[in-house]
Amino acid sequence: MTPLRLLPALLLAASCTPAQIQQLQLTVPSPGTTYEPGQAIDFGTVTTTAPRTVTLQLTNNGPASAVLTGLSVDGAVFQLGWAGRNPLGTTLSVGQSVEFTITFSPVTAGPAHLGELWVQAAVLASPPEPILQPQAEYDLVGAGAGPAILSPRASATPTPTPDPTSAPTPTPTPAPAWPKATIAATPALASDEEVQISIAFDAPLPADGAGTLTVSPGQGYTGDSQMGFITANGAFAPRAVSFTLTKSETTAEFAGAHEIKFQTGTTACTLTFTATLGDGTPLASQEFTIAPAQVGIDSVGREDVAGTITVMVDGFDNTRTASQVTFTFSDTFGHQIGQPILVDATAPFQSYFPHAGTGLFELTQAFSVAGNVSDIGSVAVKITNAVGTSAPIVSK
Amino acid sequence: MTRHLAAFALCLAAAFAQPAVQTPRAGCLLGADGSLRPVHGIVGALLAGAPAVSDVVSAACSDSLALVKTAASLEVRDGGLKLLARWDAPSGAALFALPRAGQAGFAYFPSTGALVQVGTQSPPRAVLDSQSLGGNLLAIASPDLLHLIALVADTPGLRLIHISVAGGVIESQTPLEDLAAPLALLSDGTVIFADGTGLLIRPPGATLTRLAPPDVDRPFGARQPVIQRPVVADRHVALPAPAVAIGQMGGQWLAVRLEGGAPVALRLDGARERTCRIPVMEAAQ
Repeated sequence: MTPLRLLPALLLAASCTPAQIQQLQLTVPSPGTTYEPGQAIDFGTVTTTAPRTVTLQLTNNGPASAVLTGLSVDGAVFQLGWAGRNPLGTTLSVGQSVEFTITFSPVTAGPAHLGELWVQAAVLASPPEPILQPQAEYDLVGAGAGPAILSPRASATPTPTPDPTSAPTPTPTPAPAWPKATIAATPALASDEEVQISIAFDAPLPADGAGTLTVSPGQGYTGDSQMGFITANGAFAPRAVSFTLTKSETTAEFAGAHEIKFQTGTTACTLTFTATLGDGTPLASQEFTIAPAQVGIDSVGREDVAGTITVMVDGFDNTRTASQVTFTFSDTFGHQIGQPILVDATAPFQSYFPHAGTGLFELTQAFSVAGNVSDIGSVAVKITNAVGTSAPIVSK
Repeated sequence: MTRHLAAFALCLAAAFAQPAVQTPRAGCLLGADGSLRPVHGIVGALLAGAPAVSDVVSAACSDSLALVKTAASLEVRDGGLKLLARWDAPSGAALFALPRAGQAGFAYFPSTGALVQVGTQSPPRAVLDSQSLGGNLLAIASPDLLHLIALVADTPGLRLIHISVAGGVIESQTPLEDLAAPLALLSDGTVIFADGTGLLIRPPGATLTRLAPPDVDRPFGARQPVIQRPVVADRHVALPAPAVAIGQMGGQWLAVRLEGGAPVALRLDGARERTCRIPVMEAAQ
């Protein structure tokens, strides 16, 4: 654990303007090319069977020591690496350098392989407070070439006319026979959850490859802006993510991980996950059902203003059929005050859900209070929908 | 008994015939690229939308307000990140304290040492000279517009300082054990800080409990009566990667940026905490 007194300014989200000089200079030692933030590092054309690794160097050009606080790569075909110790967290004196590698592994033929390299440093110019520099971004570009097993089968590119003068086309290598694959979700799918989706094969894979995992909502789906994959770098991918396959392995990899997070959203429906190779070969398909459920209440809050108490209820209804809301107030000793107050919220829910594109809601109800508002200790809320009535959730 | 009777005298009635329903707002998320995005949802179903503000240096959000520091200005925005007021401000980053509700907050500018109260109606007003706090101000928080809490590091160690805003007076100081960056300070004095690949939540009083004298045997076989103290202990929250930044995302939410860039939300409900990912909507191509 780093003593705070040494690094207090790392609390600051950022401490300098974008106009400040980038203290860490990025170079490719061989052949000695220097890159400015925003410039592209071109990996050239690389065959799908022979990834290219480039060694890069970050040099502290001063005027003060700096700590490398951020180093990451975005893009499924680009992978960050280093020899020995992870360079993140390294303190570089003026003139010192640190090396790392980026490997470009195109999985399909074609020119449009794009990624990003992100670098960030904290400058130790004004002790005891390091100054966090703006994050520098470098584009990563490269083209893929090679075996056609991964190129899209249904490509819009017209088939080239054979050149009669050219050499005879070699007989294509037969596509490998892929073992049976299974798509699994852990834990079982339910609304308002983050689950892990994985693709497992029942035998070691015969070759390297890559493909796409898609999700298709079916019966019951009425739109859900919160439903989708969450990639390793936190990006939201509503309907599809890419995966890679490695020869002799038995699971697909999502940016190096054996599973991908999926945010289930707040809609009762069927979801079909389909894994497909880059050439369109289907690997597996699995349908899951998110069952209709009682309203889930996430939190109950309150705001007290003279003579009025306003209750805010955050939750979700995956059936979009919420109707009656029950408020039960208690005093500061926990004794119930009067009878529960029933509010018919059918109309506001029914006018909200069709346009919301989600089963999430925040319900706000104000109550007039005859008496001292501060004598109200808590309020418990229940909501009824087509499935039943939720358990009461008590305000904090 | 008196209070009990008073409570029975309460009478409640729905002030409006029908409640209002809208999409729940969780706050705002500051990205490493300086973009500020609104975040909607609940635990397990969050989504950071398209950037609403760019070139942001520092930011914090409550349920109703956002304070946004750009290169040379301090912006006051509403919960939906709509601009309400813009004030000149020193260059560099800022620390913020926002009461959970209300239309004002506090800002501290490390570049000048200014600690100010800021709202929409009038220019920022100095609360007190931060030099009087006697150290480096690491974080601030505010339970309401009349009170401010500051976490200060100086030579003897760390201190939590309670300040009365009205007179700019230091009301009390509490020593703290060493913490680690990054960290966040909550309005009740709870400190949340990095601990390996997770976070430690240190509620107020945890330090005092740890410093309580040990229960040792006394001469003649007699034991001194043990002073009963409420058990307040640090709580650990596991994270998938080390935290590199912690910010106030909303009234009850913190946004934790992990090594590698992925953000995680931490929600504190009293003695319970919950975490989930904050998926970030990618820019339209």
